[in-house]
Amino acid sequence: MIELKGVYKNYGAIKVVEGMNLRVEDGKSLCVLGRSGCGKSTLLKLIALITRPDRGSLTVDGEDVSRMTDAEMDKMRRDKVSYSFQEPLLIPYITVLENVTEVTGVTREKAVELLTSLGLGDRLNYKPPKLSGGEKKRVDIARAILRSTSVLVADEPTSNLDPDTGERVMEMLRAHTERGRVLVYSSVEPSEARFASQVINMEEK
Amino acid sequence: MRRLVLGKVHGDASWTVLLVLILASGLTVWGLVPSVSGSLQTGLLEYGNRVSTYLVIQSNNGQLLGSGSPLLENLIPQIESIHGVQAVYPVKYNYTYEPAFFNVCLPGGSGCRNASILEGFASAAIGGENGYPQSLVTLVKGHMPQGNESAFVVNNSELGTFHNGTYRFEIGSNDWNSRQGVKFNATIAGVSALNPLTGLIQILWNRTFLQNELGSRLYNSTFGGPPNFMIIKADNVGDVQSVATSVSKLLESGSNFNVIYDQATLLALQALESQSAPLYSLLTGASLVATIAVVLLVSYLGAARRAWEPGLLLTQGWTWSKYSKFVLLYLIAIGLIASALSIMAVVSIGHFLLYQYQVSGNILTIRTTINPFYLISSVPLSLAVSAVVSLVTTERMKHMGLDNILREY
Repeated sequence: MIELKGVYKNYGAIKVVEGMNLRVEDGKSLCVLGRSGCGKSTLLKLIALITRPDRGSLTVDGEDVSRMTDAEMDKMRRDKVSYSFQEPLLIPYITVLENVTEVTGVTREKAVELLTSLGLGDRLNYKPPKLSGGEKKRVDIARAILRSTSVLVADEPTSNLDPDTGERVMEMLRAHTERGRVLVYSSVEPSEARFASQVINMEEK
Repeated sequence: MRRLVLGKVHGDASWTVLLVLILASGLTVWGLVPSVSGSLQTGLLEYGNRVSTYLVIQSNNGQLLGSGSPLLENLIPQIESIHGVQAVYPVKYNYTYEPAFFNVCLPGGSGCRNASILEGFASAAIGGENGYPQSLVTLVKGHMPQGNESAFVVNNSELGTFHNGTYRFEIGSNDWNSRQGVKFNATIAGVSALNPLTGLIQILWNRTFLQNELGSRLYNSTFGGPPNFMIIKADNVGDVQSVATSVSKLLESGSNFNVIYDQATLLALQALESQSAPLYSLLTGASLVATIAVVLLVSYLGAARRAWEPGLLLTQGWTWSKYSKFVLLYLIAIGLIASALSIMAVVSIGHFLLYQYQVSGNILTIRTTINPFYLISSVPLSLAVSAVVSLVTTERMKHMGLDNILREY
């Protein structure tokens, strides 16, 4: 479960998140809609414990992270939250498979199974510079899914993907919530809200 | 993590090579400078102890005496008992004459004619009682005269008078037409390194040949009998001045003898010992600090080059301590490669590093002996540098914050 109460986040003079209140129960999903630059990614980074709120409280699984030390937040992030980047971020000097196993610590078998189901079975030993944008995106998402944390945050998970693959990826992400976990994702496409149990439109803040 | 570290070493090749080269260069300097400076210092001091630890007793005003002196002979036990005296070598020398011919043109138009002068060389026989000690003959070329070989050693490599060939000498008279002396031919067997003091005796004769050639009566009157020159060897350069003072006291005033030693070289060596040692230590320390500083600077600047890397790893469940360990392992791998390269470089460069000095007309060659301490210590040193660099770079990333480092990708 995640809960935000009166959360503010500014970048200098720019107010990105203002007095945000929301709550997502275990087994539920939240879609954050809005155009580029409206603050979706900032909200997701708050939930993914990448940045701290300037004001207000952020609770993950009942623990208020806004009062945690850096070390406690590191631990919380390690144990509770996984994150998929808007622009896929992979280490260029190791293979696709190693980008999953070495970075997340999951077993080779699990990684091969999921990567294959995402259509990357013949790309396991490729290095990221040889992958297309869509392939990189799928590796990035596979990494987040495989960590099996109680909260999964995905920033525009279907960008760079063709409709069929996007659909498959969203189904996999939704399956995450079926195990009682929380999914938070963002999109610029209102139609993608259909995969979520809750929707928030950042342009209406 | 091992595969990730190896992947980074191999995959991030340009960065790895840059860091390895910087670190290897620094470690090479660390291994080489102290070894070179140590070898130079030891070589020069050894040379100094070999050459500048000599004192000689000779006649006043630098004039070598032609006859022997019972005074010197009587003083030997007392000189030997002076603290800092290693050995005493009494020598009886005399002159060997060689005619030098040249053309003389007289003024007034009376024409030119051949003229000759007799050139006298201070000489001694090699070995035997009051002979020039063979242990002090350091040949720079040629050989020691053998058997009855009619040959001599030039005891002064700077003496340009003699070249290969046969020379006509006379011993026993300073008048070429006199019947007192003995004339004979001889060739150069070898040339001894110049010692400015002991080189005062310019020609060293094959004793056996000289005894046969001169006969016992003439030999005893020229190269036998009491010494007229004395070479004193001090234990080390630090003893030379005190030995000189003690010997001067033993020599009676007006005895026609005085003690001389190479004060200029002695002072230069003492200065070398007292002043250059801290300089070499400073150089070694400075090279080490410079290496660490450059590696730190490059790593510090380079950390920003892939700032997203810790950002990515931290969002995937890594903690800062795990990331720090990853950086440490990567830098240790670099440090070990750099250490191996630097050890090879130090050994190779050291093998070819030769220093040659012109000293009193001789070429003093000093080879570089690699100090194993500095060679082996490059390994723990590289590991220590790796640890410091990983700590600094991780702290820098931490200070930037996860949000900021991810903003740069």
